[in-house]
Amino acid sequence: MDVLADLLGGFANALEPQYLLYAAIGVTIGTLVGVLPGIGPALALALLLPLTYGFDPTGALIIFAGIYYGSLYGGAITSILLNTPGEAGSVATAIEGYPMAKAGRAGPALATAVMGSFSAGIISTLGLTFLAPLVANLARNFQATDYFALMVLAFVSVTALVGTSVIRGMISLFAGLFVGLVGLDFLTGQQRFTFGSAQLLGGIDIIIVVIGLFAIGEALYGLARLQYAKEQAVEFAGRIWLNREERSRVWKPWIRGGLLGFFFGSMPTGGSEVPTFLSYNVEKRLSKHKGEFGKGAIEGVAGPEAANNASFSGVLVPLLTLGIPTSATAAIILSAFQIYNIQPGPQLFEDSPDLVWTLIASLFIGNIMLLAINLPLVKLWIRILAIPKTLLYTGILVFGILGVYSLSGSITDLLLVCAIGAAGFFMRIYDFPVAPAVLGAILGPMMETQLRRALSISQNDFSVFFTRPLTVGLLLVALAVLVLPAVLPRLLRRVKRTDPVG
Amino acid sequence: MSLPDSGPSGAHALVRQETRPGAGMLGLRIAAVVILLGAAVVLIDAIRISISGGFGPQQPGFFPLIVGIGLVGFGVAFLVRSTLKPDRALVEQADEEHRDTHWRTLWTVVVALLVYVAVLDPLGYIIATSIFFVGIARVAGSRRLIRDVIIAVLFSAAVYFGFTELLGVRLPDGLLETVL
Amino acid sequence: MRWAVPLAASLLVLTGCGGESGGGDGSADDYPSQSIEIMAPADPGGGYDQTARSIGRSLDEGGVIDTGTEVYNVPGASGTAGLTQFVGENTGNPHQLMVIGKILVGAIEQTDSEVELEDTTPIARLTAEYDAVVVPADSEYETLEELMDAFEADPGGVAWGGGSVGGVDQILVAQLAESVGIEPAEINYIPYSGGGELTPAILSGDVTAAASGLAEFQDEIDAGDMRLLAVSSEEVIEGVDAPTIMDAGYDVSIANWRGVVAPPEISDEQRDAVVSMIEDMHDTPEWQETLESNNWDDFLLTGEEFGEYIDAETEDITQTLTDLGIVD
Repeated sequence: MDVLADLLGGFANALEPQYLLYAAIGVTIGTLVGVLPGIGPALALALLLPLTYGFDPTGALIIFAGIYYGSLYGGAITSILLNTPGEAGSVATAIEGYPMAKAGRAGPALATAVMGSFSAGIISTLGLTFLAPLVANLARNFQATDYFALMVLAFVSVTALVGTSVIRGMISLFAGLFVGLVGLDFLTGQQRFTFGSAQLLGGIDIIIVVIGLFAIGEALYGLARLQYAKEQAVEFAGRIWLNREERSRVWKPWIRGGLLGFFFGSMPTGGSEVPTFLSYNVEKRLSKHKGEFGKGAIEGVAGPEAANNASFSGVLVPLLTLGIPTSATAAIILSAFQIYNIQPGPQLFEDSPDLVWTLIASLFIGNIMLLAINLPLVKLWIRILAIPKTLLYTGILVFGILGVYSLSGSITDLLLVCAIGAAGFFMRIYDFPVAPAVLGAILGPMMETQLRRALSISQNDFSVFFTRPLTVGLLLVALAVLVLPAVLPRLLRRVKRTDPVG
Repeated sequence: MSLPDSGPSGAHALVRQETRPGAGMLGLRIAAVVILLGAAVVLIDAIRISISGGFGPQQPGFFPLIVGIGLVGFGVAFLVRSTLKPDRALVEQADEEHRDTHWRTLWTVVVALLVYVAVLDPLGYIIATSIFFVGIARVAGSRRLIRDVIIAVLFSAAVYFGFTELLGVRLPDGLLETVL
Repeated sequence: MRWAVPLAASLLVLTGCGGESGGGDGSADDYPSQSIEIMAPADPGGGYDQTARSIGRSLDEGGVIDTGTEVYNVPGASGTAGLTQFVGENTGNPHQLMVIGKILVGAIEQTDSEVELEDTTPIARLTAEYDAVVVPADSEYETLEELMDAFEADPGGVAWGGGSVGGVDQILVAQLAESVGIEPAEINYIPYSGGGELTPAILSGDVTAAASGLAEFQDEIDAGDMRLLAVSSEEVIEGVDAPTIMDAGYDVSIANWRGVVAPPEISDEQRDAVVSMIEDMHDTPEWQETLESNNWDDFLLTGEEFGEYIDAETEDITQTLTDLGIVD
């Protein structure tokens, strides 16, 4: 088969000593950063973007994939031991992982997280290997109307991320859309929302949004609470392994989580939030130990953590084949591609097969490395948690500013990131979901461009949206997704209510 | 709405009476007003764009208008939910968050960030970052000055040389221009 | 903050080795006396960035200078942010260079930039790339003439794809339209962020025809997925199986050139020293290899002649952009 030959070629490249070394460096740095409380994969990548400047494209992307996996792994450590998930994707892990740690079972929790990530990583990377070329082939025929319909689907699915309050979720989404509109209009060159600042003509880089909301906002939140917060001592002892009973309980959740993560990750609104929570709920429903849930059920760590890891390969499907980043992480990886003048899209598999397949091969290698290198080193990583919080948050602020400065050297951008950071702080305390804002800023401009392109091409004939079968099909799916949430939450709520309360 | 000061002075009042009921509610109302003001600016500018660029869906003003209307609409809805028909769960959560927030620290850090950004170019990366680092650590409650100074200088020098030498990113030399 | 600058200045005086003064008192003989800094007014990865890094590499590795080079990026405002910073901070310093190009000329007009290319000291034009006019392989148009006939008959019916608004590609399409008497306002031009985004749009049949850098389409043309109708150079390009637009009967040619400028207010001797350094760089095997591997045309023009060229380009581009309604 072609795919296997391509993949083998990728492995031949990725196994070259220097790329192996890069993968190891990426994984290590990623874990190091991910282990810091409050830093998740998206932020780790945003802060470490300058690291790629010194490498060739393939090397840089291998490092990036390594950082991503590493930071997921590191994030699992902090979620489980400190109950401070760095990103939405690891919130579900903390729900069961932290109680397990408090009950002295941190070792098995970490072990299932790591091994679950590994299994799911392999499952989903296999999925990517076989699905991506198919999608790329299909995408060659995509026209502006189809891309627009995809964007509609994506935005409809964002409603699933809105969370508890529709009003706050929508404000967050529209704020993100606003940020995406700032700058020169792509199709006419007209200035929009630049308020007379030449620095804003080029728009607001998504990295500024990510660093502002996640790094600066998070550090402000942490610093402001420091006076009252009690330092939690990290206690950890014992085996980092699974016994026979645990093994029999976790392998199914790993596989289910891996499949869920990959499937939802590859949807137009990818990301890890939906699959992790879905996985959590599924495991809760299927478990024979329902009574343990909320108090440290190992399935509740295994499933979501697997889904979290698997969603990354899923997210790579639309990113590599359509050029659509469906999460903050993907948007930053897209920036990395663009630094090397590579535009992901249907042509990528044809134009840069070496790069793509080496990247995919390195995902396998990265997963194996994490398992092999990091499992024995857990105790070393945990030492990092002993960094005093004051220094940690200060360090995050400094790195955030540095990340933006190295992007452009512009004072306007630095002021922007501070403003977005302050906004992020208030969003946090008044419970505004952050994900819609980020996705709005990423996908809004794409949706607008595709709509207006389609209309320009058809000379303002709206019928183009209803005459192409592919477009119509995608719009129908979007409609279905719009209707589903009205039904789905009710189902989920019923499940919750039937749980025994004590 | 009688919300005179949303700035630092208002926040200080909260520090003194940490458990004053309604702090969360007040904060939510201020947030609602800020959102609405921002939304109004967006909508007005969107109308301006549409007037010069056209209102049609293929014109540059179309999306800005949608965004402006959406922001104002949901902003009003949020204002209603924080005044006339308060969202009980949210108010409780906001109250709790307000209790746990040390506002003086927050505003000091924000101001420090702005000063840091302003002096980055003239002072240079290493000096500005070292001062900022030590300052924030102190504000946040660290009382080990010597340790902080050592870490700050080592850290910022390491970042400076790592980025400029290894990654080719330009960071400002500032006062140290002649030495570096 | 305001005191910091005088303080820095006095420190410089005290230590007696001010970096800024490197050009002020130095005669042209010992140029360069310190490292050459080259600004690319765009993000890493694009044409400006590649040009800047290639110049730096050729200067270093070609042995032209031994004081070292440093390349840095100042993205923003279509390149004018970089221009503003370059002119504002480096007046009189011959060790600073900035890469410019045709696109920047348009961007200056488009963004109402207060700093213009007149404010710099022209050093040398170095490279040119040419646009290709292509259609999908299954298009009904076999020649440029057929395409242009259809364009003339129904200007809005031909959807042209190309690069960003106000860029070289749109100017080419506008000039093609003008050459057959089509009003620029009637052109149906759809911008894309670059070849990576444009290529799928051509192959999927989204746009009728497209104009963009020849290099962007080379793979697809070779593979037979696209049909190359014409190139925008004045003379037929070696190894390219297509006529020039001029040969096809339309009086249009366009070169997407790039070059370097120095800051304002450097002396004539200093300017000559910089020009001769760039000329030496141009002759290195490293630079010639760069031209080859990037498919850049050697387009050398130095000093005052380059200045006159920039003036002519500015006038020409401003006219076209005004016709298009992008600049008022």
